[in-house]
Amino acid sequence: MASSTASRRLFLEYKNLTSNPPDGITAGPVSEDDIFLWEALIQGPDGTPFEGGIFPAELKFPKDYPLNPPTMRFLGEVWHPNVYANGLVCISILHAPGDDPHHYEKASERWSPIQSVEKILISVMSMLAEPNDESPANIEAAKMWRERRGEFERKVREGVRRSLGVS
Amino acid sequence: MDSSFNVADSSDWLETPLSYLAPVEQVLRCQVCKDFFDTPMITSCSHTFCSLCIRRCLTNDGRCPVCRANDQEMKLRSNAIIQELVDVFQTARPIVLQLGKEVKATRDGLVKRAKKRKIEDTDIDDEENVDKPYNGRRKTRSQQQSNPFVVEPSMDQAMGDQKDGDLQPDDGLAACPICKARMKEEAVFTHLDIHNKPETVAQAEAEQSRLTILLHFFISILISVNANCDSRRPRTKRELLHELDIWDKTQGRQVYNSSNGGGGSSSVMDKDFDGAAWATSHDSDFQNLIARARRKTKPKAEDIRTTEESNVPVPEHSNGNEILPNHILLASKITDDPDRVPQAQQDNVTSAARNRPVEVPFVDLEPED
Repeated sequence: MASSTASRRLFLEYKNLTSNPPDGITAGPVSEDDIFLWEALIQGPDGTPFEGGIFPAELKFPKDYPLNPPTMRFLGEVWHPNVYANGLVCISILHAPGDDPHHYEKASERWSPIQSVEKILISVMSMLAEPNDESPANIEAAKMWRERRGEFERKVREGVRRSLGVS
Repeated sequence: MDSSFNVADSSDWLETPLSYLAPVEQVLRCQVCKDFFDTPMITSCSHTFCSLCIRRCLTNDGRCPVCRANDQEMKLRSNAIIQELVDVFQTARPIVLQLGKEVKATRDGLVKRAKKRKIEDTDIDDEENVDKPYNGRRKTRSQQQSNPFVVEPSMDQAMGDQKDGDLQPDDGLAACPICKARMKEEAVFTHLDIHNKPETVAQAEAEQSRLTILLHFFISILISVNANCDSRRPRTKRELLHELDIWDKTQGRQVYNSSNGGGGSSSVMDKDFDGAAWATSHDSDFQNLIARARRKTKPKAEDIRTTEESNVPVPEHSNGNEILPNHILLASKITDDPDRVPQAQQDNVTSAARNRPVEVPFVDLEPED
């Protein structure tokens, strides 16, 4: 897809996110020169161990966006079953329908051109609250979340405090 | 990058009192490119996208982006009416959006002004309290006065203030406390509206009713177009336009009347319409019209063009529009005859004028300064 289509759509999404932002989410291009690289800030959902944290992440869009999804990577430390050690987020909405690494994601949950940055970020926010341990990206975290919930929550809270510089 | 702030987007409506137009606009945008539909095509599963967008998607994975049903490019069919809908909407969009922003600005201004007035009134009270003997009474009055929307107290006190030395003639009539015109007691309240309503409120109301009519007009277009899409025997464009014309003459008028008459303000058609007060409050307009008429008859000998350019004052936008009901203005634009007067519009709309395509006349609907 012509990249002008992709950038126009990203402009439109950016404007819509700025004038009508969802709760706990901000996002936008990092610099004026490259509309295909965004930074996002996600608030940790209330009532979860992530509460009170602010999680920065970067989104990289392909030139044929929205035919294919962007990739999303947390820039800080996030201890979570669906986040790789390098911060890469593994969630079904970020997987193109033809590309199913684990073979048990429903097609309806996967990327489609009608999805948007806003929907991705909302999905990631709810992923923080409810991990999906069927297709873990961080096997250690998934095990801990399943078997030693208390320890998992303590570890997450410590991470949040460290990222805020209060411990 | 700057262009990101200039792109039109459905969230533009959210800053205006017309936020309910945001979802209307969203429906007119392709879910893939998020732009207004460009050559809309409908899939076998009845979802509509820009031709380019859906062809790219189908080439990519052969599925509808909304429901993921399999589909093929050769099964796509044009959804022409959506294109027309997008075209008329886009033509009207900047005008309606501008009106919405103006209404917002007027409202914000009103709130500020009301606050300012309150502060000023308190200052005056302090000064007055020094030398007025009945300062307690004065204070309550002034406080009441600070609210421009309360009719009764301001009338009572104004009567008290002004009639102190005057003897009232015993004619069974009551005087307007402001212009002192005499009338039946029950007519005073409606009459007072003319004095009490701040100009900006009246303007805001006029804008509001204009917007209501435009909005209903859009909705009616949407309804007829959608119904036509479902129909097994779609009506022709001519028939659709004829229906719209009928709508304008029936519901359009009702919309206008309800948005105008609801607030209890007297209308020219009312039985107890206060003609004298109307004449007083619109005196300057009438004088202006008379002056212009005189000027037009006079300069036969001189060069008419230069006289008009130099002397004739530009008529004010609001005055011109308040005389004609808005839907009639709209209708006269649609029949492409700007000189049509209301009576003529009601009776003899020629079928030729009525059946002109909608998209052309809308271009004329440009805001005047």
